[in-house]
Amino acid sequence: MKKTLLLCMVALMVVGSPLFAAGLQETAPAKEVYFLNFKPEIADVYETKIAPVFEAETGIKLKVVTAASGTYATTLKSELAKSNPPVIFQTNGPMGLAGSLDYTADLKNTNFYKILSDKSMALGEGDEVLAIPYAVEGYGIIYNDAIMRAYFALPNKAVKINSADEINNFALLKAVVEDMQKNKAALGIQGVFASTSMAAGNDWRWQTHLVNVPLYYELRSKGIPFGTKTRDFDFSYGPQMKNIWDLYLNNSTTAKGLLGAKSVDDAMAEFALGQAAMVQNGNWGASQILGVKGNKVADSDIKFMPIYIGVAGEENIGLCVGTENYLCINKKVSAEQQALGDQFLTWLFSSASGKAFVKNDLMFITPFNTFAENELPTDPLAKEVIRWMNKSGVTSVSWDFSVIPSEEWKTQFGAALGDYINGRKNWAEVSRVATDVWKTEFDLSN
Amino acid sequence: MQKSMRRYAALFVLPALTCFFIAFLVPMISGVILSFFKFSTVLDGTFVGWQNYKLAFINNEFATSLWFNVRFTLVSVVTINIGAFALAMLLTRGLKGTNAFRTIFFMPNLIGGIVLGWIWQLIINGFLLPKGVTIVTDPKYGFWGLVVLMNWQNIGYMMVIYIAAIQNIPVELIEAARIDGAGNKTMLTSVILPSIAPSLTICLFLTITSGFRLFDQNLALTAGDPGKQTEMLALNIYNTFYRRTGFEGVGQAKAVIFTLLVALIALTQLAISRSREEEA
Repeated sequence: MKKTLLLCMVALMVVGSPLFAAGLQETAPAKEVYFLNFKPEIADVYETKIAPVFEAETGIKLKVVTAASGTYATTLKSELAKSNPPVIFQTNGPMGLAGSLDYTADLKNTNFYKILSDKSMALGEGDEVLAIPYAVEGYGIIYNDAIMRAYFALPNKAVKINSADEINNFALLKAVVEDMQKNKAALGIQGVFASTSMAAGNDWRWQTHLVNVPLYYELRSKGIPFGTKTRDFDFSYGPQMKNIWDLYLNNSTTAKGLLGAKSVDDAMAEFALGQAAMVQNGNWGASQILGVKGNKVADSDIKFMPIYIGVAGEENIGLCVGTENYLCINKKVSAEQQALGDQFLTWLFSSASGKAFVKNDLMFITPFNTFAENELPTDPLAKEVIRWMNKSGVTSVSWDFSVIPSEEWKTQFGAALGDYINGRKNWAEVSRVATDVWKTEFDLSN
Repeated sequence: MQKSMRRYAALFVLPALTCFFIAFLVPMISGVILSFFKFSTVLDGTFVGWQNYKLAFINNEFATSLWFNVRFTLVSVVTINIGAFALAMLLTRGLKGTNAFRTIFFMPNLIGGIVLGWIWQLIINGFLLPKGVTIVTDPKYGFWGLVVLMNWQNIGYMMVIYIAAIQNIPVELIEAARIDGAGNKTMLTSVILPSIAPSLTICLFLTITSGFRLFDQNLALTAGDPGKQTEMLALNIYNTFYRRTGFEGVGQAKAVIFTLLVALIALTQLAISRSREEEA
């Protein structure tokens, strides 16, 4: 009897082992680079265009996995724990990097680091280089110049200026916007500003990007240099943020009560379809305007203006320019795989075919010295960002939101902004959330 | 025969035991262990003692979720069981089309929570649109939306349990009661309810625990909006674990607290109902 039992067990093991073995074998197909992509909007480009060409030119397979919008941290966490982890992954700045220090390899000796024009833009610890930026981005208020021209041609317009170019402070912006809202029927729009999207996961345009403007003014007026963490945030330019926030809400395509269900996609579609004249977003939104079915905005009419909030001297500020896109190489994969990762990134940002993809399909404004003047992207928003960056007498607003102590702060501040919209909090209470939570979160993370 | 069965018992239990071990016991034990660690991936971390448990209560978030969850469970347990019992009474009277109705009422239970959440979000937002609000404008809409959704999904299931119980009441008992002059009210309180007490226990247990464990419906219907005010325990744990860098261990600690809490409530309820059953 015992023999039969033994036989059964052996049989079970024999049947079972190929199953387990198959699971283990996943680890190392000879030449493959696994890239965990952050941007769903360009996932297709990596998968269908870049991967085949890269494999044809170098014989290395590119495996691209893309995390769904808003789930990158989650996906990264579970992928890193697997037996075949990503070789290249993305981080969003100093805070994100702090969470993945166990996995970031030193990139000092890579070719990818060598092509970075301004070495100070890379992130690191001590003398190690851990994350390299690959795309510079800019945001501000995107406007449809055709609608603006129609407004300035109205016989009954209430402002003295004659083109959107002349708007250079909050007072002028407010006068124009409020008068446009009054004449929305004549202009054929539903509201000046596209929906202030507050749906779950869609409030980053406000709790990160908009608040960056008052944050920038506060830090500079206190003399705190860019990138320095601070425990005290007074929200001293809060009243100015309220200016622009009220302007967005009161002159919108959508009633306040309905904003909780609106997404960024909705807002961009409203702009693309000509229902709104302005929308706050960045140059990454180009594909969301140009790609919308029934898009009514001509490329040449898509323009940028800085976010004016009513601070003295704001005539001289430009768009908010910076980066939240850094690439890291996983130090827990083999040295050979790390080298392949470096090879792919260097290929993408310096070979002729790689650069063509970056310019035409990925539409990145890159910080690498391998790109000549005529190799910068040509989509209307990227061109506008480059125009504003090079405008004389104008200083770009830096991306100071990288010193926000945690994602939790953004979540809570976003919720407070939502409560303000629906009348459950007044502005003083919103300010209190901003300053109090900042302290709590700073203490938790430092 | 008996002897050889005993001999092979271990072998036959093996597959089930392996599954139980891999899919239940190991994750549960490692979950408890992880709640004492600070970690970002589940395979390496540093021991931090009770730190995670302290951080779980750092702001009112967890308590708010708990309170919202308790209110929600109370309301939905009452409405689901009354609704299900009423339907069961109606559908055991031999009305025409009884079987068709039973099937229809049971069907919502076959649809997944995420799908249900999306469907009800559309319906509720459609109703609220003329008022110029949406389900996430005010937490009270989210609360009642969740109650409606939960009722819609669970009434059919509980109804089936009640129907089975009602059909099992001996005809002689009912006839005897009628002859003794029991009216409708006495019939309900003194004959039917005591006879279905075991089913009542099961239905209460099921609705209470599913009320506390609600996740996908919550995620799809409101995602906790506005500002975490309709976030229930399970969703709160998920968000702590996945949405806050460095808080994975805290999420784990919350999960342990959550497990203990649900177990405690469910066991208490079982003990109370059981003792009543015996009395009856």
